[in-house]
Amino acid sequence: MADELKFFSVKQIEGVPEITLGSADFVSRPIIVLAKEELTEYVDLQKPPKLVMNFKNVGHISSEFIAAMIDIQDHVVGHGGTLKLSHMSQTVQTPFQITNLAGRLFMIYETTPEAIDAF
Amino acid sequence: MAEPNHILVVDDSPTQLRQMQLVLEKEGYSVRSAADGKEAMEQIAIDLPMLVITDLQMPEMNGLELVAAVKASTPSLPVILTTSQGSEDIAASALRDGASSYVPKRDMALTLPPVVKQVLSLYEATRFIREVSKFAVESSITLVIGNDEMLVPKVIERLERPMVELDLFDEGERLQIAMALDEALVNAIVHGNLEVSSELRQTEDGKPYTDLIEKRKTESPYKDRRVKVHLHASCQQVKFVICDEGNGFDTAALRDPTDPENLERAGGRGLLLINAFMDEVIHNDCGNEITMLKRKQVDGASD
Repeated sequence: MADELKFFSVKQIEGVPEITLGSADFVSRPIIVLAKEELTEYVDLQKPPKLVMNFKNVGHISSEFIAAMIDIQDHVVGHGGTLKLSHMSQTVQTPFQITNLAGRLFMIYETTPEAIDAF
Repeated sequence: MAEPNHILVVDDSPTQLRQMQLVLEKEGYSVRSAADGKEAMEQIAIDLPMLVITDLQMPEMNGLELVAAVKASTPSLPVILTTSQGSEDIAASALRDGASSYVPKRDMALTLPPVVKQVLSLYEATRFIREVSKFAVESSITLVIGNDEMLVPKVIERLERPMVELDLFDEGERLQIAMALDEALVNAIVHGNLEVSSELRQTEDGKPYTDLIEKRKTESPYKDRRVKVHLHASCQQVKFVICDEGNGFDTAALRDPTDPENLERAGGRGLLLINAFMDEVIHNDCGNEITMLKRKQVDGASD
């Protein structure tokens, strides 16, 4: 894995890794492809049993990004882990709701501590 | 109306206010002050400044709320935030919400003047455009682009301009329109012109999907195809027509992506978002042209 992460940073909160996505808007496919590669590489290497993704810096997303999130979720689940999402603006959350994924495939919480409490 | 000629500084600390005033007056600016966001909005309503510089933490209405209020009432008025150490995250969030810049309080005397100068020169450069925009009642633009997805954000940015000039939508609505445009443009390039199916995205982590996109960008007939984007905006609505040169597709054949059985399948989500964010969506018979309409909400109107 590359030493320097381009699209996200990671910190541990109560033993749970919290991935904070960078400030890029995830609407451009080439950026989404690279970000997904970096994220899946992290997941495959770390195999976290619990993982929170923090969206506080994400302005808006596309359906391509949603598809990427489904792939990342598959990787987390494939290693026996659980993924939860936090700090999503209404703009970012709306596509997840419209596509019926919020509450079904993805559990979305207001804050990271709430997401961690829900594990 | 007279052209704004003063800077409004907002801070609940008289000491900080005085310090900012001194720094700005030394640079030759005329300065007025307010003790919180509420008082600032009252002053803005009476006498429009050319720039607002505000603290983040204040009683009544804080800096973030002030940014939102200014963007709602006077979108072209620039706002600079002053921040204490440790509040960079909040400042970054304010930038996304429409603030022009932020200056750390710790070295105000050094960093404030150049930032003010830069923000004001940008404001001045666009003043003529803003003044003329007040008289715009209709706007049309047609763009013809190649199959470069990296261009899409710039195309969307260009298409947003007439909507801002005609004061058609608020920022939230414009973001939704931007998302719908992104979906439609990427559909036209990837699925239309390059004829790459989203089903391929589910094979081997999506690598065959991205490889085929890159390959077809260099192959005839795909590489020679163009996407035509037409916008027509009036004071009541905006209409986008996006047409590709592919063979078209049958929208009726798409699976319902919200059906629990299809949740993890690729395909159909983009169109679903377009339909959710636009008021009217029409496809031509061939399936290579989409027309999207968004109407301005009139206060008190209901469907």
